[in-house]
Amino acid sequence: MIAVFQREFKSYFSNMIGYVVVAALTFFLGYAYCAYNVGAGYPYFGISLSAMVVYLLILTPLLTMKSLSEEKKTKTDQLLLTAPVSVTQVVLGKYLAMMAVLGIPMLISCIYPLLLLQQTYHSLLIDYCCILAYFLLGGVYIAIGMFVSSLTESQIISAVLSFAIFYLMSIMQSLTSHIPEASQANAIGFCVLALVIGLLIYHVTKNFYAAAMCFLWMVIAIWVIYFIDNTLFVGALAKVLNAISFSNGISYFANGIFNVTDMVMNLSMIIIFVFLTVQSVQKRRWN
Amino acid sequence: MIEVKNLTKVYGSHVAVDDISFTLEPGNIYGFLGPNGAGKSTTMNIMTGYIAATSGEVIINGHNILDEPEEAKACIGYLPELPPLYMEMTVEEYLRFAAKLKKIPKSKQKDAVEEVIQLTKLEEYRRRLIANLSKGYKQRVGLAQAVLGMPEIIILDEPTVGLDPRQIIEIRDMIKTLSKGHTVILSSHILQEISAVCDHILIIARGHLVASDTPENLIKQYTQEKQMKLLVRGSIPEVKSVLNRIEGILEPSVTVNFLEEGAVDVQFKLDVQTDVRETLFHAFAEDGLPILSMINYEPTLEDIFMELTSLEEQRAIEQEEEAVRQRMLKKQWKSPSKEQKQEEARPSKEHRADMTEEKKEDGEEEQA
Repeated sequence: MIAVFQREFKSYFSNMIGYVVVAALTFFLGYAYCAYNVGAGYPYFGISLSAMVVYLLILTPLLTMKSLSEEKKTKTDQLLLTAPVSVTQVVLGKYLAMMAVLGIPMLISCIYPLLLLQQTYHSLLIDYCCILAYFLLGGVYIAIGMFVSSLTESQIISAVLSFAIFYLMSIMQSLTSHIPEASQANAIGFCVLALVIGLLIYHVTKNFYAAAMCFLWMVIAIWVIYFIDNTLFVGALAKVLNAISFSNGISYFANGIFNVTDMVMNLSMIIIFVFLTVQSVQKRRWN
Repeated sequence: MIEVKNLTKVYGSHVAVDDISFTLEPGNIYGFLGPNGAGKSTTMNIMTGYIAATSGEVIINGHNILDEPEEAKACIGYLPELPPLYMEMTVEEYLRFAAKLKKIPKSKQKDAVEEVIQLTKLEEYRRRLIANLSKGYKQRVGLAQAVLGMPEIIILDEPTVGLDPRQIIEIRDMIKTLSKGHTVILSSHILQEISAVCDHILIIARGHLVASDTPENLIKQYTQEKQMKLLVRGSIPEVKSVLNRIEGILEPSVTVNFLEEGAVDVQFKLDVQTDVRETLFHAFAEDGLPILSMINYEPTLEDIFMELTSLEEQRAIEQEEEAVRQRMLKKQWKSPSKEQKQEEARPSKEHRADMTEEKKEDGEEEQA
């Protein structure tokens, strides 16, 4: 794992991507600090960080796009998969290398709260928790991006798809505000969601019956629950979809609230997507 | 030791490897021989744990590649068809990385890397970026990676592709020196290479293992006749009368040679074991017909390869036709009309005829 980590980390700085990501994030963090903390006089660094979420959307796909797709395309994965290391170790090595690249601008940003202390009294703890939350959010994006990268051989597809997913997640709240409250409409919405899941299952397993049965059971379950107690469905779809959009969690931190659920949510998202990436790499060997 | 049992790999509806079994003993060089797309690379990829088999198992030194992958993979050095190189690394960096991946103890890593650099003659190139190396040198780096740490089993998929003739000879020599105490498996579709290096040959065609033996035994086993060509000064009837006196000559043909006036070409086949060169000399001398040239074509691996692979090809085509015919029959059964019923009778007869033909062929093979 350490060998993979070292190689990956080095490879980001043997081409431009590593430098671009570090430089861009450092620049925008400095810019946000100047604008919000120096210019507008906010006493929290978290305010600047919550404005920086949008740059993660753009920069993390750059980091993750080639992580696994490139190996598959150039067949260098043959070296990794025939070496006496497990797939989990390889994937973790890669994941940690990307986190380390992201960690560089995060470390640099640790100076800002100290600078801020010179000007005004504020809680260092809140600021550093904010930086940690931002770093973890980046970790979630990297985990998802890595998973997307493991699905394709093309860097471009991987980058565009990851960006689309991140963008969708970040605008989820404004999207869900347009979903009607009525329970019947919500039940139909869940059926559409079931269809999407069914199609995904079919795409992954290529097993029509399994996908169809999954879809069917989900639809039956939805309508059974609906007929038992349809009040459960009032505004439910919006709630579920909002739960997936975790990028807004950072605004709690920005306002000085240490939100444990958000932390747990982000950590579990990271674990789930690293696990899924391992499974996706394993699956390649079977078909 | 490697044991491969009933290995099968199916991609969708395409069977890449079909029920292959063999056992490889240490200290030998094994050659995988087969036409393009025969399933050589797939078999090797399964043996090294890169892809998983649909069914069957691979056991490396007592470790199943699926149940104990790390123990099994630690015994193997593998050079795939396309060397798995990271273009942004230098040769030395890459080999260091491979050494770490292969879990060579830290204290020995430097020596191990040095050893393979010497072995593959990469000293001058150690600080060069792999991206800037020529194809032959990239192949060498791949090879260095495969033999790094001197694993017990070295698997090389077409190791000499893209090399110039001199490099090919160098690499062949290297493989020969490696074989002491190691099991080396290499695949190729170049026959000379296999016959020059390998102790044992496995011929694969259309996913089937069609032969597995030493080169000498293969030649003995699969060829019954050889060919001879002569150039004799004389007329066709004179030569023919001489040939009639000699026993053991099959299908003789005598034709006029256009380049040499008054000379004829003689061509015939004979049993592998019989040697008629001296008899020919005396017989033609008796009649005063000088032999200008005599060529004795000993059967080569190439002949066997061609025969075995074309047989397999033919069988595969027949099977496909059979499958199509069966499907047609089924369709007709499902929607029987008067006209179709009449047609049904005919294909089933053909089907029976084919079956007997196949049986004949099988019988012939057994005899061989």
